[in-house]
Amino acid sequence: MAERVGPPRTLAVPFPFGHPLGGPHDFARQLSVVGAALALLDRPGPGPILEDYQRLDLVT
Amino acid sequence: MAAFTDLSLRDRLLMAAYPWRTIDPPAWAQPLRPVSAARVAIVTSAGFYRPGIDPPFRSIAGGDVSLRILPVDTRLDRLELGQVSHSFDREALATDPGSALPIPHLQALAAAGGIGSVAPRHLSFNGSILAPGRLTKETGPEAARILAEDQVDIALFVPV
Repeated sequence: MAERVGPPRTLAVPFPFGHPLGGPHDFARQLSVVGAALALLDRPGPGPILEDYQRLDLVT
Repeated sequence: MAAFTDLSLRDRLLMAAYPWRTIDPPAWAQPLRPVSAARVAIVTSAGFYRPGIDPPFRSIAGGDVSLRILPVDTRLDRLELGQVSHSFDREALATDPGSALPIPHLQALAAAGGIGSVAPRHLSFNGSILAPGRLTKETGPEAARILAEDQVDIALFVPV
C-alpha cells in the first residue's frame, strides 16, 4: 500500500495485521520500531522513503 | 509477516479493485529540528475513543471520517476499539492499546533524550475508510491544525 500511495516516510514491518509495532505487550520491540520510524526523520530528502525494519541493524 | 494473502478473499478483491490515490507530487517537509529535540504526536487509525467521553465511531457507508482527540494522560486500558474491520488481530489491540497508540513509548524516549517532548494531544481516526474525500478536505486539515497548535514537529502515524 505504501508503495502505491507514496507517503513521505514509511517503515515496513514484518508483523501480522494488527501488530503495527510488534506483538502485544512486547514493549521492547514496540519501542524499537517507534525509534526506527522516528529515525527516518533524520534522513535527508528527497522522499518518499520506504525502509524495511528487518534490514536495519537494530533488530534484536 | 503480514502478507496480501493473509487477507480474506473479499478483502483481497476489494484491495485489488480499489482506486488507490497516489500522493503526487510526493509530500516532503524537512524537519526544523533533529528528532532528539522534536515534539512528537501519534496519529492512529485504530479508531480508539474514550467511552463515556467521546462519541463512538459509526459504521457508515464509506467509513466514519471523524476524529477523536486523546490527551497524553488518557488511560489506555479504558479505550475502546472503534475499528470495524476484522482483517487484523483485534485481540492484540484490545489487550494492549499501546501497541497502536504508543504514548508510553514516546514518554520513554523523551526520558532517555531520544526525542524532545511528547505532544499534549494525540489523534485517533477510524480505519477502513473507503471514501476519503471528506477526510482529506475536512478532518485531515483539522488534524493538522491541532498538531500545529500544539507545536508538534513530528506526527507518527500508526496504521491499523
